Amino acid sequence: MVGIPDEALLAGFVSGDRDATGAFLQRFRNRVYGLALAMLHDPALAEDVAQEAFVRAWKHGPSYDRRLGTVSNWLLRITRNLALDRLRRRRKEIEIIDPDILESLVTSTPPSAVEDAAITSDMAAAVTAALAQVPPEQRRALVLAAYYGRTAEEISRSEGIPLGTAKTRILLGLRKVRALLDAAEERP
Amino acid sequence: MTSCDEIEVELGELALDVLPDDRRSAVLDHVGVCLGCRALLLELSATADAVLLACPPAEPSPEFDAAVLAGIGSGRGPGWPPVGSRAPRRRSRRSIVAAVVAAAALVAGGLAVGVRLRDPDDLRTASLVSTTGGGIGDAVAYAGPPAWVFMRVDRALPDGTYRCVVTTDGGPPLEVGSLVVVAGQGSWGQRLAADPARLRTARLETGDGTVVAAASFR
Repeated sequence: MVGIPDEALLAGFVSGDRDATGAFLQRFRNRVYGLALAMLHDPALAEDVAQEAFVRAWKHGPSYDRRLGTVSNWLLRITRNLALDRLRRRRKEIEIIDPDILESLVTSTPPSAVEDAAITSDMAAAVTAALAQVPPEQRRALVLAAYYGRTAEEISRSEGIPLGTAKTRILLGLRKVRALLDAAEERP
Repeated sequence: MTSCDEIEVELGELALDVLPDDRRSAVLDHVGVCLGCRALLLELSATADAVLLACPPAEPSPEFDAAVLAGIGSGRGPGWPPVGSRAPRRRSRRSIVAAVVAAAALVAGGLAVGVRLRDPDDLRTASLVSTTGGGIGDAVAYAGPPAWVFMRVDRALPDGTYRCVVTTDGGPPLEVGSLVVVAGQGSWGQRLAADPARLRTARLETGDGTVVAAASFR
């Protein structure tokens, strides 16, 4: 099923087709698990979250709306929400990875997987390159909010900066990534 | 009335879904009536989604796929664990091992869970051609079992809801769903009750039965 659009695989997955399900899992499992692992830093817990993400995708697949993002983004958003829920419920029990380590992870490790659709791999590489170019203080605020679900107020406290500064760093970080991605798309 | 400047600085948090509830409603109220801030929010939300792609992939344990299959469990045919739309639950390591054993027993016929791909010939693709000429998307039919059909529109069709109709050799046209087009784009997919080998066309019709596009699988 190489070359089949993500949406078609999702339709097959939701309809109960075994082969489409196998291909769907093969295409997305490493990304979903990779995100959960980076956020939770616990392989067993990350597997639970990643498995649950696929179950949720199966249950909510019929309501998937491509206008709200690609299948890959939709699936990762489900994964992030589940992982954040675990983080919030078990904040005292789950060891939080040093944001410096996660920053390094998302800006320097080539995010590739053999089963990735080419478009996903290209986008992942572009995002990694963009994040590496974002000013460090903005990148750090962005990583804390995106991967740890930290609010601007929490970032303000942990970083020892004014609340307004934390909000601005998150916003500017996102805008910088967007601008870099747009510029990368326009390059031949 | 809150100004755009006041709202804009909080759109990043809203896009990342970390804006506290006490600010969320005020920001959403503004976004609901301000086209500029709404457009920026959409852009930031898409960026927030993209940021998650930066995480490097990692390989889960070999039991992963079987545990997902067991979690889905729906009794939708051979190979699937038994029923239920039971609520997703946290699985212990022990339950994963049990799931693997159960799934391995149920997934008969030598299917290597999650990796074996069927012959590409089981997939039939066709261009979706507008009645005014020109391709506007595609249609895919999969032999299964179960069979399913998928239609996608990329361009040139007015926004609206269209009836998805398939025809088979010797059978009457069969309405199988509806496809919503927004900003020229839309997609739809569904399990197909008809024999996919006899599938001849998949088409989109307006509510009054006017055919606006069709894909031929001949």
